Amino acid sequence: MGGSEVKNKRWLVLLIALVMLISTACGNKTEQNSTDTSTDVKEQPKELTKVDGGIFIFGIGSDPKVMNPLFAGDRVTMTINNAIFSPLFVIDSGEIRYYLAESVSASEDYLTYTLKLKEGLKWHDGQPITAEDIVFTVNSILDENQGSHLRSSFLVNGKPIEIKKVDDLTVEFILPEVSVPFMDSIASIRPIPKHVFEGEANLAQSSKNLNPIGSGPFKFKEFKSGEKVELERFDDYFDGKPNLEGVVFRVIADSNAANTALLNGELSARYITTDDIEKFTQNGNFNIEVFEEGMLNNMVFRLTNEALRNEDVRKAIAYAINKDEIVTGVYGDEEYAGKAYSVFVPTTLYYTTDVEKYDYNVEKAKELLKNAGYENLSLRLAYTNTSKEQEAYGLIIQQQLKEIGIEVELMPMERGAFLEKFVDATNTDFDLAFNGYVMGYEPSGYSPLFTAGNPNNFMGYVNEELDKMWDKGVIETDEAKRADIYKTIQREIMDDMVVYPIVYPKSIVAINSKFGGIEEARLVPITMFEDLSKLYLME
Amino acid sequence: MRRLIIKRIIQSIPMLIAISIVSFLLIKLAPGDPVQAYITPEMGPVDIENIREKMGLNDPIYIQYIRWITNVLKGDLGYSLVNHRPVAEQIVERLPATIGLMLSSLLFSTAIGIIIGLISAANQNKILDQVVTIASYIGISIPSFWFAMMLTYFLSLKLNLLPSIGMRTIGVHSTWDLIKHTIMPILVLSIQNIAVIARYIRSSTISQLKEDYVIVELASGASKGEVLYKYVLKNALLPVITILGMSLPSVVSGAFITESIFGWPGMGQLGMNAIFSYDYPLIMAITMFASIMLILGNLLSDILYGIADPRIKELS
Repeated sequence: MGGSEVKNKRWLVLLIALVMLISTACGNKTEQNSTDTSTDVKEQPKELTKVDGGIFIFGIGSDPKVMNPLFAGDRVTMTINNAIFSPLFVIDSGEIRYYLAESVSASEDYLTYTLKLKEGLKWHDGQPITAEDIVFTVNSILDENQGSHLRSSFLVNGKPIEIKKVDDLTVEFILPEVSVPFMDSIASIRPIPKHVFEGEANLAQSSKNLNPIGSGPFKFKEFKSGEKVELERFDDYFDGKPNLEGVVFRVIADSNAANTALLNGELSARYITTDDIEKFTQNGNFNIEVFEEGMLNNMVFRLTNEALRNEDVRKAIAYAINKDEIVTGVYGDEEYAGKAYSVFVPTTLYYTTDVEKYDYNVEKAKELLKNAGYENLSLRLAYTNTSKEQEAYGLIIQQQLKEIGIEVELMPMERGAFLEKFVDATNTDFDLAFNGYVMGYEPSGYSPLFTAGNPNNFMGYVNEELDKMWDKGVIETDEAKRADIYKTIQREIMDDMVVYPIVYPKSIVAINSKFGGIEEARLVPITMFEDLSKLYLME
Repeated sequence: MRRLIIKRIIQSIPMLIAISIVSFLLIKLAPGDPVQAYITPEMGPVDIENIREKMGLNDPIYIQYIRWITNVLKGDLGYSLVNHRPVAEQIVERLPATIGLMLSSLLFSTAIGIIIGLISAANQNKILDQVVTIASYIGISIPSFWFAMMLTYFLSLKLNLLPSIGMRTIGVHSTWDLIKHTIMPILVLSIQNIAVIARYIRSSTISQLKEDYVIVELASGASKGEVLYKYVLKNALLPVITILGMSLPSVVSGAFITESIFGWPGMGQLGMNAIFSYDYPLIMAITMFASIMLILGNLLSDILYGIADPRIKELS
């Protein structure tokens, strides 16, 4: 074998390998086209009818933490608990939807709340749901040793409320002082069964949580850690037998793998991003639903920075930011993110847009900066490095602030590192930061973010006048006066411009179109659906 | 032989202690706080401190470490900070899935690697050998998560041959279904090892084929195949045992990535979740567990090598 012969063969082999690689890359495109036409040919619109049965499969990022509503604060756990444990009632934009409760009312002096349960309610094991269960649940929440995160919503000015059984179906909540938002606290209760948990020393660590007995439309069937949580239909659900035979939550951490599984039919629904929308609309087997998440994405001003302590500098920055550019650049369309002008979200009670809007005005921004004496400023903007959304905000705002002579240094950080520095208002590692929050319907829920000295006041904001108004809002029983208080608060905060509201991003869900009843099940923040019993399969 | 084993086990103890201290320090020093998972806006600074106290996070680091190590020696691996379940219970739950995947991958990569290596050696420098060589280099260099996604894209999404996530299809309990779910994870875990083993077998076989005893056997009438499989293979296999021991770390760490992408409910996925939630007891337990597996694995491969190669036995 001569040297040149071997060399030729080597080149030949290399060439073959190269050709294989290139053809795989090109092959992608042609294969995609051919598959698209084949689905077009296959799909003929056919009449689908509702059938009984079927299994709905959600994708979740990790195991639930504890299948007990007293200890669940994260999205995954709350979504699973929502299927197993029913609430007493739900407050939505002023209207009340009753679940386990038949009625709830406050006394004239707002110091006593009376709640009556529906008749004939059953736990998953057949036992009746009674007032004793409510009393047990609330007392467990109040028990400091149990460590439930819900405890603080049952304290008024640090003093615990009292709960009393009136009869088998009625309880009374007795407050030490007036607290108008208390209705919200009652709404947060999802009762746990007394006959299961009575006597357990540590509810969070109890092994009973591995086999939860609840009141919701689906009861616990199986939990395989890292794999799935499987629930089956509860025939005696108070609102009628659920249509679906079962609901499964499959654990899949990787976003791309989850999207593949959704396209494959291995998952029935999933939250998706604006980037994924085209992929799912093209596929044709999905309904894309967009709804309010009740979230505000915002930028926080750290008042530890001398320049930012000057109100004019903050206002200048606000005027220099062009929200339209952010919406189009990050979301493509305002349909997926509404421009935000208040620190409250539209679904919060007494939300108002009657505030200073800081509409894009570069000249005004430059003027304000000049008057403040900060014509060349350098600021550091920090955020979580895994958030593509925040990275995009950062790049756009960096450009926009350059126009008025402010140099922004972007500081993407690992989530844990960011949170540690962010929650410490005295930390001076950065001057601006991105954040997002969901506070709910009750406006007093926002107070921890803005009251002086509160660990959730990430700006280090101090406004004693406003602190007094927050306190008043909790005890003001006249609706008109209350509305006035919270509208004034929103106006004041925007005048002070300590938090810059960016957008209200919407939740986008892709649901396999063979499932119906989406409207009756109601798309809501955090748990995706409010009442899973209303979903059904179509064939 | 027994003295060797005992000596090695005693040597491993300070190694394990050192690993535990380093891991503990690294995790504690990394920014981030398990208390984050529990903070809700209604909580005041007092509540957050209470939670910290209860978790024992306020004590000095060495006290936290001593507390942990004394518990471990008593058999108590602690409770997960995230879901309050005993750590030992969670690991045992997930172990079968990972061990199953790892063993299958090791067997698969060894078998295929040997076959490919032998074929390559037998056809040294011909086209088949060249192609295999190039494929081996690609196999060694391929990033596992990219390979995983490519496999999923083609085999699962486009061709609809295999399921893309999990260990089983919901509601199905057949073994064939389980096998279908294992195929892609095993391929991803094995690809690198197949290439490495093939290369070693190839060069080992080639050098064996040059030995005198091969010429003698061929001269005395044995067929090429007989020589290859009856005599050469045994000698060529020796480095494989060491390689398997060396490849154990990549299989264990590869499991973390592969399991997360495929949603395989094993220890790797548990470990990843623990890391992202700063769940110290769980992270420590999994790190120690992986370290013990590696040390034992290497010990085992050393022993096997000693048994396989009488020359080593003599030396010890």
